Amino acid sequence: MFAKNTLASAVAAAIGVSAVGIAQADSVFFPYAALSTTVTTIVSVINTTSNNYDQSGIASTTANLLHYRFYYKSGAAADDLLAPCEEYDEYLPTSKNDIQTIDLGGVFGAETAGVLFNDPSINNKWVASGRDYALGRSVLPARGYLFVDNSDGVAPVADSGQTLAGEAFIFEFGSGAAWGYQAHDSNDQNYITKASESPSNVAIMPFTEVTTAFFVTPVDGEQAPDFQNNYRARVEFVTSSRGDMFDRDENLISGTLPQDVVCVARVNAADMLSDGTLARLGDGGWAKVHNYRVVPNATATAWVPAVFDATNSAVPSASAIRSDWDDGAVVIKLEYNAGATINGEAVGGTYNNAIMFAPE
Amino acid sequence: MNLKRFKSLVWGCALGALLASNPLYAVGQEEKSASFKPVTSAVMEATGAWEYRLDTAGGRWLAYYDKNRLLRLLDPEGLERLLVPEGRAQAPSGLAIAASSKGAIALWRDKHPAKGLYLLDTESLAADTATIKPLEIGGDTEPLARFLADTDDSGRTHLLWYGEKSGQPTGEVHNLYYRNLNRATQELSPTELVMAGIYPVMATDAKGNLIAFSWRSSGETKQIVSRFRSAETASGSSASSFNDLVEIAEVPEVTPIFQAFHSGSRWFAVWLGQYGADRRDFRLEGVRSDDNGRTWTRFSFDDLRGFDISSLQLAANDEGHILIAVSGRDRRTNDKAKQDVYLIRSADRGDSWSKAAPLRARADAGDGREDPLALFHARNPSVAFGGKPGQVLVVWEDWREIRSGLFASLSNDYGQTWALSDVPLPRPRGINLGLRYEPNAVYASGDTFHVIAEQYTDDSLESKQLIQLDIGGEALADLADAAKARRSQEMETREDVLRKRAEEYWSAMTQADFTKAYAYLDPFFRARMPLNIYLSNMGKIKYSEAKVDSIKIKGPIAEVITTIRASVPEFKVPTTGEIVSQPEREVPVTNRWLWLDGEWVSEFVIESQDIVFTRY
Repeated sequence: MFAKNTLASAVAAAIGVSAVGIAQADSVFFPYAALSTTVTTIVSVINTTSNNYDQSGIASTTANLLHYRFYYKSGAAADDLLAPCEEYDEYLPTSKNDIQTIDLGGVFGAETAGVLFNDPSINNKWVASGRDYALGRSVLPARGYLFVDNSDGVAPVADSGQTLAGEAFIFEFGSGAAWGYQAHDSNDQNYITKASESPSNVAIMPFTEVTTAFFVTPVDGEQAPDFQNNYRARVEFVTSSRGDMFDRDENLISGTLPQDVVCVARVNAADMLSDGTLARLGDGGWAKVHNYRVVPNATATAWVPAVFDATNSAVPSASAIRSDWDDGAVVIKLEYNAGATINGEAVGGTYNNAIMFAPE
Repeated sequence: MNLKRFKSLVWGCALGALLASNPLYAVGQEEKSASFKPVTSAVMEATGAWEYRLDTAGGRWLAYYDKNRLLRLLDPEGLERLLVPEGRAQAPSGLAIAASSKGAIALWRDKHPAKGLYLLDTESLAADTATIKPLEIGGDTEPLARFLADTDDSGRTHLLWYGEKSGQPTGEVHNLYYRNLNRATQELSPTELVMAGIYPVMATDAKGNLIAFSWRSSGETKQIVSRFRSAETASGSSASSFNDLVEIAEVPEVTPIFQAFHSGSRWFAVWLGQYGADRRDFRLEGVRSDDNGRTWTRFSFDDLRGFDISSLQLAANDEGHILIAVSGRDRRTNDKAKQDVYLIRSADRGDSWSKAAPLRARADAGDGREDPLALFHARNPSVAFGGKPGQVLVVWEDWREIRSGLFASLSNDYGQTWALSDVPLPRPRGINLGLRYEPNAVYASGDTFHVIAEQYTDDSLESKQLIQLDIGGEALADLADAAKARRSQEMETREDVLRKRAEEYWSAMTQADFTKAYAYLDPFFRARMPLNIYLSNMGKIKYSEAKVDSIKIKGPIAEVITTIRASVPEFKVPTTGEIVSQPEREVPVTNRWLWLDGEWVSEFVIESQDIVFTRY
């Protein structure tokens, strides 16, 4: 289905410009995208340099392509926390100081290859390229993340500072509910420092009225691996020294459950609690939400917490000491109503709020 | 008006009037077999706490929080009083009741007039809330809203709570504290620091012996621990009145499922432990002691290993019969399974235990087909011994009829076999009845069992009132017969009715009569999404034709596939100016229909968020 993906990555690897080979490029990382028949993700990519790629992935100061890499899990796998992501990549036109706003699901901009808002295609010749920017158009429903890089700083191209940035907008066009975030950027492909602070204090609204979920995307020293992403991270509530959280009356209540995520997934807050705990937390409360990478133990019989190796940051290794565990995932909290109320009072429609927990 | 009198068993109060005026409450067999009585006068939050105790004369003292978080107490005569002044700021929380021959003691945490743990003895209950003077018993322990109260035969009330006072010798912030009240002299014993922990767990016997348990977390060491307090111990000395702490078991994590009890002179504690890195190795386990907690024998219910237990209620007598009713689901591999209800029993004071037996009757078990009941939650079972030796009633909340109702099983041999099994208790049409995870909602007086159930005030399931259902063995047999007849009658006509309903629904959609279509949607959705908001979201898709292709019915759930022709007329996206349209095309649409209140309704799904408003 995605021969182009495999071909492009294979060619890039064969000629030595695979993801590892271009590790010093500037990049921007959109940690979450959702696509379905009623939800789409609109991303804006801002590029401030002419240090880009040609179609073969060769760095040049006169080239005009950005490298888009969409990591996704689709169909039934979209709801499987532990399914790995496939990679789909494209080199797509850009130009210095260009902004490209793209509907990854291709719902909007159906006649313009997913490119939105009357983009004139003069310097950035996206029309002439004949390429489709709606990278997830044919894999609905899907969850994923987007990684985009240019060649700024890739030898022989000089480094002109941070040259890529972005924003994302997740839009349920049936109800009009929307939320967004600022994408992370970097002058390489290492996003370990962009993990959300662990722990982060998180407020939980009443479970019976408001649905709370976490979008979790593990980070790594190599955020754009070739072909597939199977990075695994864990999120859990540990608020004192136990698996616990506070209710709205300062009572500690134990019985929380860790949840593991591979590549990217949505975790319901209710699924992070035992049923006895959930029943006693009808009004919600607050917790410290932890995130960290996990790796197989020595016998490969279990997944255990990890730290990133100081000498080779792309490789996490097991650690038994909680205080050593490195922050390991970008965590976004989403909360929305299932009815037309908040605090039991009518609100006349849908609300949909998201918070991306900042890095430490 | 601060003082309100309510005779809760009289049909004159608000709920009584509601029920009496509702013809659905007086239909056929249901009226003959069992009776509903309103218990509470004020509406409660759906999650609102309540508690009750029987005094030595069998009178029921019941306290509850209303929707304004005001604490109310009902005496055995049905007189209801506010325990805190009406109109005050929200402050009381937590609730415990103890009862004896002299009435009841209510215990709550409050910030008015100062933060503390307040005790009210009904013997000293004033005529109105303005002059109610509860006793503050928490002192400087900074009590939190988790506490217990039990009265022994001597009239001494034992109080155990947890507080967050720092700088204690345990080195922990959260600790358990104890004191007792001599109701005859109104003398309070000194406050004692018992041990570290967040869950006060206690069992007392009639003589006044007690044993306190805690799950103690200190660094990497997490243990179940206990301390025994003899009834012979004098209070008031500077030394602790408790024996030394006994370390019982290393348990890395526990859920709030943690209880203590006794059968004769044998003491027990049971808890739900969490083991393994993913904490999904749930183990319902416990300990017993025959030497007042000096030594303990550990046991576990291995056939429930991996089951996340959401509620646990038990009945134990001094003859050694113990019944433990739980709801739970296997969460070892996923979070999707529905909860089910089980009973564990012992006839030899816990020397041995039965397997955890499912309380719901399984159809065609063992033939490889999916258990139809696995599609529906059942939870929060309560259990009680009856007036006759061996008689036991178990009642639970069950969603197999899409709405929540109560089901019951009756045994005459302590739960070994069932004389009546899996019987639906009467539920008026359109009403949802449930049980809370606590307290144990069933008790017996004479030959009658009483069930205190929660009745949701509407299909939003946001608020409730308490009702009482009285049932005897004969009534339950009548109910079983009536339910059987009703089910077989309904099965005969359902498919024809469904096809007609589905065609009517799609006819309304093709005519853009969304007001009419709304009436075919499930009532849980309609309760949360008013018609005007629904209408404001409709109309972007134009339906031109619809043909019901196939119907597949499984119990009260049906999958209906309809081929529709639809288009999206051109419209401009307000924020972007983008023109959006879709040409007409033919697509098959699968809808789930539910048999509810004697008719089929379409289950509303917000597909993008996988949200349904039903709760089964």
